[in-house]
Amino acid sequence: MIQNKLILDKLEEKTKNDPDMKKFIEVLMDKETEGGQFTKSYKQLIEKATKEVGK
Amino acid sequence: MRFESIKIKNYRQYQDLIVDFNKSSENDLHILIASNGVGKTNLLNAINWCLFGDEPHLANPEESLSICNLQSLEEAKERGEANCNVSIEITASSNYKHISFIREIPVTTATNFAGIEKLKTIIIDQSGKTEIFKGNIADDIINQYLPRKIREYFFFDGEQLHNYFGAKRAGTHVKDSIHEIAQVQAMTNIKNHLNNVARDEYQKTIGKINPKIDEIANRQTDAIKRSENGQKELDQLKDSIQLSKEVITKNDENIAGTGSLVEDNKRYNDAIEELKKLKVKKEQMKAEIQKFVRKYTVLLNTYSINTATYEFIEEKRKKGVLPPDIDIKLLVQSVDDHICVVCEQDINEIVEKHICDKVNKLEVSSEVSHKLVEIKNDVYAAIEQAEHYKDEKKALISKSKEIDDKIQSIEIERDKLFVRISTCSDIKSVEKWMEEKYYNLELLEINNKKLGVIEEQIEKVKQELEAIEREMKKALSESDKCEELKVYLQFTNRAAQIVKEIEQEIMDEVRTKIEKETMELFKKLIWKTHTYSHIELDSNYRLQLFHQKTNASCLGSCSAAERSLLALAFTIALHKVSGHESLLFIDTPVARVSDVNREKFASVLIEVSKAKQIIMAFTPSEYSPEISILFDSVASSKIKLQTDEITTQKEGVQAIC
Repeated sequence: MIQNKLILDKLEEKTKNDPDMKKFIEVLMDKETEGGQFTKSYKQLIEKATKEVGK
Repeated sequence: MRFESIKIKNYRQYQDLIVDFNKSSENDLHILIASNGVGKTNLLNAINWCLFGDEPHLANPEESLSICNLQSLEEAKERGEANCNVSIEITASSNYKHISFIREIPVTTATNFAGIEKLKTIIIDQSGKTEIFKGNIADDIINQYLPRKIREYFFFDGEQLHNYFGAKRAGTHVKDSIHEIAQVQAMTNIKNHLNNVARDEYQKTIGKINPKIDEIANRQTDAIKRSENGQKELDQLKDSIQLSKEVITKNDENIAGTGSLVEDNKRYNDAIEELKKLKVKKEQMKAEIQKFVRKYTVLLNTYSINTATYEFIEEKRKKGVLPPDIDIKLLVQSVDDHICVVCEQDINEIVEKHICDKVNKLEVSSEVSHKLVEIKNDVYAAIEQAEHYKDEKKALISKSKEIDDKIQSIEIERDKLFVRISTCSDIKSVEKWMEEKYYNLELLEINNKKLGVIEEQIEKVKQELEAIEREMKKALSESDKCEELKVYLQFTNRAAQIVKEIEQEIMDEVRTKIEKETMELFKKLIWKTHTYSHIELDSNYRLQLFHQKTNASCLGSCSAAERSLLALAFTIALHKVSGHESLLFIDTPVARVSDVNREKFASVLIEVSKAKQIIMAFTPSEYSPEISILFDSVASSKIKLQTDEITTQKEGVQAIC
């Protein structure tokens, strides 16, 4: 989990018109701070997020 | 994360110890007080052992006793047990979760050999759901909350704080740690993972269908590699430049006051060499004088006789009583024959009379006359030489005096230099410092030049990458195949771009904020509030402290106490800026800090403990009135660790709240 408020504020600012992207990066942030192997799950997350865009 | 309690069983001094860290006031501040030898530092070791499986604060790991409490081992042996278990359990809380970290190890009672360690992490969430993790997974969980590689920013030994900015922190270690704490590293990882997926999963697949895209992707991979290598080289170079600067500053401080010492020493050695040469010259001079004396002793002693002889011969010559160069016999024969024997011409009576008069006047024979002329020449030469005596003597004396004066002045200088250099007991070290300084000055110049070149190269690669990206975008838009893959790729690239921007901005902001925050805290911690102007952190987070007057970095001139307080300010600033919620555990926090600064230290820590758990272990003397008066009224807990050795003759430590 990202605890650094500076990062969260920046993400908010850069994705204010793109909530799907914000949600997607937040998921990645959680994943990244949990540890483990990512490539496969990243691919799944990208494709899932892309399909959900604008839903 | 905050620690709720630590339970220690059979670990070193601790036979059975439970320390609770309940937050009972506004300040999450906990004080541990223990005399030397009771085990303050081993409490720090216990925390490290439980979480990371090692004991970094042991004075000498090779010569340390068994990890198991010796009394417990003996008692287990008496009870006939094969093993005695050492266990430490840290209970913590984070985001409404209760987490227990438990590490155990059996120690055989017969041999004191330690067996295999076991680690367990138990997480209980708000709903009561319990998960138990063991081994490597348990390790991973600890690393999520308290990353091992940055543990020194959570648990540290106050007595070592003054070394915080020393040489062992060279390289990118500090930067990496800070990026880890501030979670910039997480952003870097996300960016890299997104780029990898974009390249390896989508671009390559699209490239297989469209060779042009494949070719652009290959160029892109190559440029990225070059950019990364360049950046690595740049970091190393910056590090080397900073190191050189530090070495120069350190050596300048070392040779301060002895600045001319090496030069003096060189001049002293030169003076000795010059004296040796002059003494050889003086010896040569002496030989020359002796030769002069020998020569003039004869010339001067014979001078009056020679003069008289010369004058006598000269007088005879003037009177005409000496025969001419031609033999008298020939003149007489010429008169007798009336023909000149030289030119064979007739001679008349007048000439004959003149020759006869001359011949009659002559007192000596031609042979005698020739001898006298010879003597006259030799005598004249001797007289003439003798007359050079004064000038030659004057020149010799002046030359000799010149050498003597030179010797005398060099001897005076040599003695003066000796007095100066003898004030320094270790001229060799000074020479070494000077040598090191000049070597690093040269290195600095070379590296600064290289730095410019590499920065230029990186900038070129950056432009090349941007051009490739544009090319890729165009190629992708032209390709009407793989629409789905293109959507994924565009989405991934957009996400990677946002994360990259956040990463870059955060890197700069974190550094600037840490600089500002550290300086503010440092000013609160020290009594010399106007001595230092500001702090600068370079790209590798090497800290430089600037003096108000000189505006030059002066970290090396700070006292051990100031460096300790600066390290503390830096750590607190780092926690604050990064938003990392981990606790701070400091062993002997004010060991090197004096009274006024202790008060300031206490005030700052009280303020910090409103937002962060702080545990500090003091010796009774360290917990002086300046501190206790401030801490006692606000601390959530104050625990005295006492050994029961005195009362029961048994080894063990008790906690008294």
